[in-house]
Amino acid sequence: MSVEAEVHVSRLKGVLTSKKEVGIFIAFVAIFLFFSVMSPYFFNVENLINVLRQVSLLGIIAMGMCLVIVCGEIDLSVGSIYGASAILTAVMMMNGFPIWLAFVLGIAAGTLFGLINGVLITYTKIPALIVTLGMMNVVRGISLIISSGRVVNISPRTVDDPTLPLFLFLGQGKIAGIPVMCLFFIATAIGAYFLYSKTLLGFRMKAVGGSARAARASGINSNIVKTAAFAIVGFLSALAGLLNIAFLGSVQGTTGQGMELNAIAAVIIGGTSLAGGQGTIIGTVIGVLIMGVLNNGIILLGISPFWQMTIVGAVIILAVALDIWTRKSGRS
Amino acid sequence: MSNIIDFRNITKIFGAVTALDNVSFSIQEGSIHAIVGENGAGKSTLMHILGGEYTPDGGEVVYRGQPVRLDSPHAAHEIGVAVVYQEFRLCPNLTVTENLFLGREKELGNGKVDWPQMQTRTAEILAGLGSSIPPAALVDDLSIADQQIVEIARALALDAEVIIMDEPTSALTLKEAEELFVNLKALRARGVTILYISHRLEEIFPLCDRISVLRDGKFVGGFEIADIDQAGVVRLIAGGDLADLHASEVRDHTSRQKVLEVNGLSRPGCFSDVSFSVHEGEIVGIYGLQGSGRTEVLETIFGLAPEWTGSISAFGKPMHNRSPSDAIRNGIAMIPENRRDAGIFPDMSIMDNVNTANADDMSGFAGVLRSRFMADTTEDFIRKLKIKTSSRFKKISQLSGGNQQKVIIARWLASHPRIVLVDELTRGIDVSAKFEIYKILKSLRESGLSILMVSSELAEILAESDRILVMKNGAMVADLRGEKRTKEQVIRHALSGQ
Repeated sequence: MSVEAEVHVSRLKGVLTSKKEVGIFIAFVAIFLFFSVMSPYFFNVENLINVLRQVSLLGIIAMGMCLVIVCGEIDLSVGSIYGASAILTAVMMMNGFPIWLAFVLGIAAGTLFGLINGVLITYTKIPALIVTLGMMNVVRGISLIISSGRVVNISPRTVDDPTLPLFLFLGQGKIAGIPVMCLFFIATAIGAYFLYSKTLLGFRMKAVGGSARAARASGINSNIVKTAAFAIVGFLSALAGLLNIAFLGSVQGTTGQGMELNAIAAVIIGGTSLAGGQGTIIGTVIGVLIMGVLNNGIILLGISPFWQMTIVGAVIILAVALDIWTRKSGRS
Repeated sequence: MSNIIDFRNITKIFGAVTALDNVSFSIQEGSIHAIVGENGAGKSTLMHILGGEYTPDGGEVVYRGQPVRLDSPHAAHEIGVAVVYQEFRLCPNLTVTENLFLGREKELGNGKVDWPQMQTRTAEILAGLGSSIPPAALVDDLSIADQQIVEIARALALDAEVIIMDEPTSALTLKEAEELFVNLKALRARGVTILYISHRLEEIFPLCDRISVLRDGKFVGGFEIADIDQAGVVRLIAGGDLADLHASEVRDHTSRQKVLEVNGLSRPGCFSDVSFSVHEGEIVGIYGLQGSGRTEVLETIFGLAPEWTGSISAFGKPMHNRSPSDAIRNGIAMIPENRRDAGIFPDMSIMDNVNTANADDMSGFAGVLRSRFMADTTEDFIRKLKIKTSSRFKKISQLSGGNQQKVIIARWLASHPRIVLVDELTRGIDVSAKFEIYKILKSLRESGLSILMVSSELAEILAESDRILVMKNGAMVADLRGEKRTKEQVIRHALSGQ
């Protein structure tokens, strides 16, 4: 074999074994085909767009969660931030704030919560698990206090702003048949991919998660890098929260409970290592889609929705087991 | 004396790599038997086979004339073989006694756990090793040397007849190493057989009875230690004549411009009142025992120390680095001591590993990576530093130690330094890769870079540096140049401080 050809072969091998997405994509296709065969209702455009819409908000948060996990950290407060920023925005709208301002302040609140997470974790050295567990409760409490435990409704009766339909369009509208929410998800995924693979910040997230000491010795300020990741996931959680209220027209204190674990699950199913240092945005997108397709397929097959959690849980374990197994066989 | 172990045609294959190729030789009972070879020569693989971690793909291990099947570490323990690995396998959260009897807690108590008796037995074994470690001490609280004694004690608690020592002195000070040698000789006198794996020929010759050399997975020679000299062993290890390995060309650059000046530098608990300077195009070695403060001086210059007093100036201007990124901006690079923990990013590619300290060059507007630049830089260094790899996309953890270190050198050269601090640059790297790395150092000196080099290997310090600074107990005790730059002088200052 010529040297040139050898280089190509070894690169191809490298691509096939290093691209973790290949395995998870095959699994996704298998699940997809299974439901397509088993249910006549699964494989049609309307249902598939419906699936995509259902996972869009989770997907937006999972993009940020992937970055946090790549840094070797975890964030349990995203579900609370998702709920709280929506409630804050809704209450501001009902109290006469212009919608655009309430929107911006809601997003800013979510980003601020993320920043607080990041600063506490990096400067006080309290583990992320503890800080974000605390924040999960603190922020959830804020939601309940503000909403007094009641459902907050957004409608022309409660909000006096002519731009309300525009806001609701973000959650309920469609462009060329595709829900606007899905477009937000797609845009977030592209943005996250670009950030992770093509920018210095993403590169440094990988480095910091891969070896904290080597990163420090390379002149990388890991505090800034990690804080940025937490701020980004806070921002995205708030964005998802606002899209949710625009979709439903209402929000309550408990909105978003459990969202954090679903987001982490999607990231892990997608092949990102909880140990940090290696992650994949494409894999995370596929992980999100797998969760959506499973939930949808289970319902279409007439299986009790109570089974959903059990099946998704089993898939998480299976995905990680497969990942470990393929990496072992790839090495020897 | 009879043979306790015969390796017969041992072959072990990992994928495309033949780690051991038809290796046959014997170990005499009650001897200290050295096994040497470059990294990747197959020493570790052979030890893992004897320790029951790997099973051979061909051939057999014969123990006291009987072929044995070693399919687990437990099986190795059963016949009396114990391994003391380079990275200790102790539970730091348990006591010495608990570690010694881990997994065999019920053995002494006839089915119930009899801690007092285990404690007594532990104390006996430790006393036999001339050690005063309390059996109830937590392993985490012990020094590295004491942890190693606990490892040896554990082997003895297993009634091991054969103890394999893998690079036992790599983390020990000179004095601790001397104590280890006394212990090993005492064990030999008690009839224990020791397999001694090491890169350090200077300690093998006074200690060992026989030596076996492996190269590229093949057995290339076995000798009574009296029948061969160091140069002969080096030739066998390298497979060629490396006579010029330590050919030093010392230069006196002290008349040139001072690039780094350190005055009265002190760091509480580490070192005090350290002063020295480095000139343009000079390689300055810092020698000292472990704990003498060498590494800490480098860390302080590189901005890794929180608090210090004194003054540091570079290129005639005062320099105060609060973090490594300050240091990089000031033209300083540092290749840290512990490659695996503080050097490499194990899951990243060679390309990514090269481009971690040159942020200003590798990213453009809004922090967008310049992938073309990153690729070109990497390819350039792969060529210049002769990094052996099939592609720049390969993970760094798949390279040998020597090639990993070359990648780290490339990373720091890419940051355009003018002064390079290196700490134990060639630790755990095989002979021929060391030789290449020394050549790189020399070529950097040619290009006007100044190098400040900390090393525990005396031969390396003597051969590679133009001037030698010696540290002892946190003080700079000598600046040896010209005729004073001799082995005897360096050792004398390092040990006695004068």
